[in-house]
Amino acid sequence: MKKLFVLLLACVMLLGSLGAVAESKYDLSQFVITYEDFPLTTEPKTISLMGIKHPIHGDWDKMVFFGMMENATGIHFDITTIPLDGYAEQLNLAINTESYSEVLLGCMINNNQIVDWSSQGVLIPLNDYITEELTPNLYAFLEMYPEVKGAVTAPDGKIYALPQLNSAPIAYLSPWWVNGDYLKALNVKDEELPTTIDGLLALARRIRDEDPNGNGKADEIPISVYDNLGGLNIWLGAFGLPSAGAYVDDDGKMQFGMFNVEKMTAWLSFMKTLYDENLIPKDFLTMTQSDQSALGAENRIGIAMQAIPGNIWYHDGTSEEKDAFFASCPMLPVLGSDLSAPMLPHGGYGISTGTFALTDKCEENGNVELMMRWADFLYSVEGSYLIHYGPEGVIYEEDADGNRVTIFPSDGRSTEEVRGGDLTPDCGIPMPKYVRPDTEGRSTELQQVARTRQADEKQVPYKRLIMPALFFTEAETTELATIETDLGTFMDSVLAKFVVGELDIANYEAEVITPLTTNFKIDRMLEINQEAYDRYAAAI
Amino acid sequence: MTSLNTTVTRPGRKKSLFARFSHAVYKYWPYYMMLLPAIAYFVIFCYGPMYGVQIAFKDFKIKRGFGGSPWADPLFKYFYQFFESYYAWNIVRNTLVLSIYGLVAGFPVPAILALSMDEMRRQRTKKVVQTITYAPNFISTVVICGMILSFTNQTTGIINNMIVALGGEPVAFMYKEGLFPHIYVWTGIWQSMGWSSVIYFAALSGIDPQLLEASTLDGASRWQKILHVKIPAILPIIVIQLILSAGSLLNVGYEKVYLLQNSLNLNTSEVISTYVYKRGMVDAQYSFSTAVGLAQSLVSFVMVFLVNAIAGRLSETSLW
Repeated sequence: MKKLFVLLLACVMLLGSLGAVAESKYDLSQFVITYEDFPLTTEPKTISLMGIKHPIHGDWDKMVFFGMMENATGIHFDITTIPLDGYAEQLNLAINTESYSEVLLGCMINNNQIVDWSSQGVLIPLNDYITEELTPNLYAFLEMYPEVKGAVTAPDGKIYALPQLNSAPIAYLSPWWVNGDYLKALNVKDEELPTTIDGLLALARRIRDEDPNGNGKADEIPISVYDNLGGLNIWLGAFGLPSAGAYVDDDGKMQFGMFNVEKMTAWLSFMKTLYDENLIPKDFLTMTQSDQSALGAENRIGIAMQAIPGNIWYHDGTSEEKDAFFASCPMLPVLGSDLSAPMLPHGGYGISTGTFALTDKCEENGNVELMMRWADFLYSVEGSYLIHYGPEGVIYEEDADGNRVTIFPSDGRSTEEVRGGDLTPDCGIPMPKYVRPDTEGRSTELQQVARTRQADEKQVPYKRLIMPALFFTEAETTELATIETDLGTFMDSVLAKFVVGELDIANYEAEVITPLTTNFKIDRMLEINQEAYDRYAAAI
Repeated sequence: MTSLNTTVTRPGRKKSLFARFSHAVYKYWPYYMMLLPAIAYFVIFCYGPMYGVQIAFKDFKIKRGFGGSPWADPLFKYFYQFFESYYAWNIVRNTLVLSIYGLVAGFPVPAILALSMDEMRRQRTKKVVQTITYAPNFISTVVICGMILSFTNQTTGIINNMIVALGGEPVAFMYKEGLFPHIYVWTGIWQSMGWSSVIYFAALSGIDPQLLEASTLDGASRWQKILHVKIPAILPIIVIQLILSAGSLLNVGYEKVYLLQNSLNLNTSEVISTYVYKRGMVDAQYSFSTAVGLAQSLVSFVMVFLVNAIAGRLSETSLW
């Protein structure tokens, strides 16, 4: 009996320790938010919140951002997170089983979900709360950017979810990076980097043959791609086609890229050359991002696409030496070909929709106004800075000119790991905020400075919008789903087959155009897209 | 036994079915109690959820729930949608090919394995072989798929390294849609044959030694003993196993197919269950994927009846 009692006691103590408030390893008292609208409530309030947890994230409730916001606003969050891997399934399940929270923060809700969930009353319209008095920052932000307002307004004219806007070009233009050490070994200068498809092939062949990593083995992967065709779609632009799927042409009309036989076959031949000559990994269809990271760490990658070179390669040495190496990896210029001048297709203007939404549960508890004021702070200069970089003094400090001086972590982690692990959920997952055009460039980290400069020089002149993020009505969504369900699968699989030689590019018309026109209602799909685009064009 | 006697002696007062049943329950209640968990399992996990199947015929809306969602117009809308889609027949064909191929190639193997192990003289070797053949059964599907992918890798895989060492050209095994069914089925057989042979092993050890002795005295060779004594002895088990596996014929193991898929082998690797997962769980088209799943269940149901009937005709062994 005594034993049982002790056991019981132990269990109770264990439970108690589990329930204890999460302790942050940072002293929150040194980070104070001073903002005129705060605190939002005098008596402490608890509101439930749901978000998607990126692998780089630590526990959300230990993050400095949430701690600081709680101290400043008086609102405590009861946080549920969904792992990024397979989040779509789990998020749908949470909504369907009514186990969602009052606030959906960083849930990457797509437009179809917004239409679907709002029609069922799960998401509530926020328009009435976006006013000059209640949410001045948000109001001013949406007034300043009508295209953002157009992108977040559902077909019924209401706004259900708030966006993130990063107006810097690097936020929406995908860069290819070239290994700086390889270029030194091959004696290629920055200004000699290829600007055409043929030039790229020549450089890739040299990387393959001339052992630029100097280990005596021909183990270099000239161009690293993973996850299906990966970034290779970007080089459709080199042949003058923004996308293999639907895109808006210069006259504002919807087109379907795969119908353009000349440009598609030219692109496919280029890809087949890459595959046949071992310029991309043979198993590119089954490779994952972690495979690429492993190859990068072994210094086996020549050219790859990531936001910054630091995400591709690994370099020994101090944080400063790493930074210097990554800054020495130049951005590959936008490519052109015989068929077209250089063109860089991109998907949007740095607008990520669906980053913040409130559910009917929030309305039932009367917390909508409170949460809108909470979110409004994030659109202020201080707020956007805080959720983006965490508080000053951890990974950055401001110098006299207002530039961010990077503080490299002393524990061997990268600044990104500290940012996403300890400071803020705004790392890898889009969060409600407005990044001012000059924010990203105001860094003293060489890699970031180089990235911003090269994006302006090498990419911006050639950018081409594929089409803006469009909103469809429920009926349109249903109809599109029936058309697009198999279309995406068909496109992926038929294109991959041309690349690996399972299908002959000479038979493009028979293998692609015929099935497309007979089995898929492309015309209807373009028509629906056109209507949605016209609505969008009218709204801005 | 007295109560039985009374019913027999007084045929005129035949009790109702319910009365007899409740009497039986009263009398043999411990046995019925033992039955209870099994009944509860089927009611809760198999029959209970079935009322959700109605969403295949409805425009399912979460908030309105199963009952409150409006009926689809036309009622079979989502069935039409599936069967009119580009990949529908492909998916049905793949499901059938993978499952029938798996069944035909897979079900004799454990029996053969058991028969050959039964012939082994040395107990130690027999035990070792048995353990080795069991082992893969306990490796999780994810690990098996990881092994398959890395062994068949075009540049680093062990199989291609051997091919290259022997002077051949490396083969992109997982990118060839024609190879997918073979890889899927034979790795499955390798994984499960040891474990499934246990039941035949048990049946073989139950053979009356007198039968074997008698056949030895009659001068039967080992091969003849297998053919005329051992196989007939385990035949009923083989048939029952066949019928049981026919029931789950269309339930192709979804995890394994899903993990081995890529966009090049999709033409032969997309099966109903992976399609239902992608459309239902990922794209949240609940009504549509329920309709597809329901269609699969109906076919499975018919299949069990057919195989059972055929088995009953051929061997007088059937499930019911």
